Amino acid sequence: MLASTLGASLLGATLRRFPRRQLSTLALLFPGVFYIGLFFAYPLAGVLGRSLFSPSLTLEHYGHLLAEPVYLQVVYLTFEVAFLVAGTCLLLGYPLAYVLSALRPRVAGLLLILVIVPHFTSTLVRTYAWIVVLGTEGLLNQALIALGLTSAPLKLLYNRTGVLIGMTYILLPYVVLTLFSVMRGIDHSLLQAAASLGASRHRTFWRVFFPLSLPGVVGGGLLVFIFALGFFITPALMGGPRETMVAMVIEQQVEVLFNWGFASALAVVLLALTLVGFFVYHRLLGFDRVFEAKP
Amino acid sequence: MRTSNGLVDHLRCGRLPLSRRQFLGGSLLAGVTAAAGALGAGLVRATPAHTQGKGRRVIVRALGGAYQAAEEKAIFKPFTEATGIEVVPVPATAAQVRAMVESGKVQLDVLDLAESTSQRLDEQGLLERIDYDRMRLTNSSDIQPHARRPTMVGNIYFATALAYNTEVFKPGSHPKSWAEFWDAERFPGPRTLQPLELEFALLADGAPMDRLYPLDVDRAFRSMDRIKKHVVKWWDTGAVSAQLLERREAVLGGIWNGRIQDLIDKGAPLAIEWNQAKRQLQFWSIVKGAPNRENAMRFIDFALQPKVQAALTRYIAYGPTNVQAFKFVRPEDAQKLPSEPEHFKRSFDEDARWWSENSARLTERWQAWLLKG
Repeated sequence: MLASTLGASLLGATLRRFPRRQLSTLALLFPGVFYIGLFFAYPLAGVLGRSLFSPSLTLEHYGHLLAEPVYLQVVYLTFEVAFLVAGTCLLLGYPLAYVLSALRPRVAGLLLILVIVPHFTSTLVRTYAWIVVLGTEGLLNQALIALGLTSAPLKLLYNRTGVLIGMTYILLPYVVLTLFSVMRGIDHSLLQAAASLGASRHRTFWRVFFPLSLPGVVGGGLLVFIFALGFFITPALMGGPRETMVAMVIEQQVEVLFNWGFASALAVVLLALTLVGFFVYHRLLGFDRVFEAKP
Repeated sequence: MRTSNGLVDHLRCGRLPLSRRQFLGGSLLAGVTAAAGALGAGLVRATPAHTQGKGRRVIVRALGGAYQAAEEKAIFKPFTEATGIEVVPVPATAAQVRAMVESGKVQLDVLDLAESTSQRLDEQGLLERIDYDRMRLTNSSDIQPHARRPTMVGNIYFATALAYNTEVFKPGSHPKSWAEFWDAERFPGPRTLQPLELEFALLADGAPMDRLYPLDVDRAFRSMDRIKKHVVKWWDTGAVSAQLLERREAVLGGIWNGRIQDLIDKGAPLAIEWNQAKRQLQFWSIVKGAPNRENAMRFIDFALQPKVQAALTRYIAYGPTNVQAFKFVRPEDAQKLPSEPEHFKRSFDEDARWWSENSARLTERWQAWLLKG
């Protein structure tokens, strides 16, 4: 009741400050802001509150998090895995997006659908499918042994390799789509100009195309990195102890130990570190480069 | 007015912190159950449970897998036939139960949870008292005394037992104790264990089975150091453990006996060594403020009857808590149960109270131990 009255008066005050012409802008913004406010900002404030007020105002949860090295270690592992996944996605996604962007729009569109279609199946199902493929007696190892490429089965599950394969597979489309849209926007007359001035194809690529595609690399990499930070299912099912992610520890604290205050503190720290990462990134590269596809 | 449609009710669950997968699974399950109920009711002209108000149903926490399938046959269906009350199984975790009670929107009546989890809910005051006096089908004094508590009542006995692959280890020359399970030279091959199996680590180190608690934690962790590199995966859900053994990612494991038995019954080359198995209890309880409290009480009363508990053993190898139930258990099912006399003698009871006092500290130590080296 109080909150809604407060909200209404706040809205009224805001509206009075805006000239009529900007009211339409405000109206357009409202649904999005309302949605994010209700389903993101409000619950997030709740999490923050829980981390500080369980049971009453205390810094105990944060203190504990810093005092026990295991939690910072898990945070470190989470960033390490997310970073490796983003890197692998870029390595695999860049050539794919490059080829796609050079095709005729209709063909490229069809192939892009193929990139996206696996996303219609749940992450859980696809993760289990990978377990069948990558197991000691799985399809891949059987094929490798039959071809004489290896004598003993490779260890592809319950370790870093397994998690990288599983997560890269799930996150790859985000990189491909981001890179594709940026590469599509590159003015091809610039490439022709470089070629007409005598640059080799190699040189044209590295001196003209690649720098122009960097916003896509930065944007796609960042997107995947952020997604990867919060991963749970894939590292839990395909990883080993050294792929313990913050989300898994949070789940344990929420479900098994009922320590919601500490779980909230972990969530807040993960978010805060992500924001710090953003800030550093912004100072180094600038977000305008990320979100502006124009070269 | 509230509708009795399961699907609609489950859409309301969307406000609770269910994951999308659980949420969809739950609504789908509820929808299917409602549809099946409607069909059954139409055929036998019994009480059409689904058309009546929400007073004609009871929402039960379901675990999925072989266990839920067994419950459907032995408990849910007979209960609906006897009372006209529809049983709606929904997946839910203890944390969701707590969130429901705290937000005042309880969408669940009966819980079916392991002892330590039930105890933790009870400590938070999230469970209703169980009216033993009002039980009409079950004689409450027949329930094993330590399974009969004010807010929770033992439902089944299960065990975490040593399972082995019979193609790798011929029965007879397989590991017969946790000490032999720990001996990777004599019995080579990848293993799987649940996190924090400190009792097994102590037994492997030669501690006597009847004097395990309070656990010597330091000694247990030192023993764990020796097995660590042979454990391919520390499993945390029953499904993962079964998959590891079925796909031969592990040839030895400490897993729930019902899960192994299910694989054995399906023809997997696996067997159980009952020596030094850890017996555990699963409990029924009623959520504080349950919307169908009366039905929940009737459900528990029904489920604890000797014949119903005995019927469950036909479908899954989890043993009864009602001492009268053994009269009705078929001999071929009895020998698969943790409470079978020979198995019983060679196994031990988990001390869930010790665990609920120590699990926060130990989980932290375990996590640190896993990450080192």
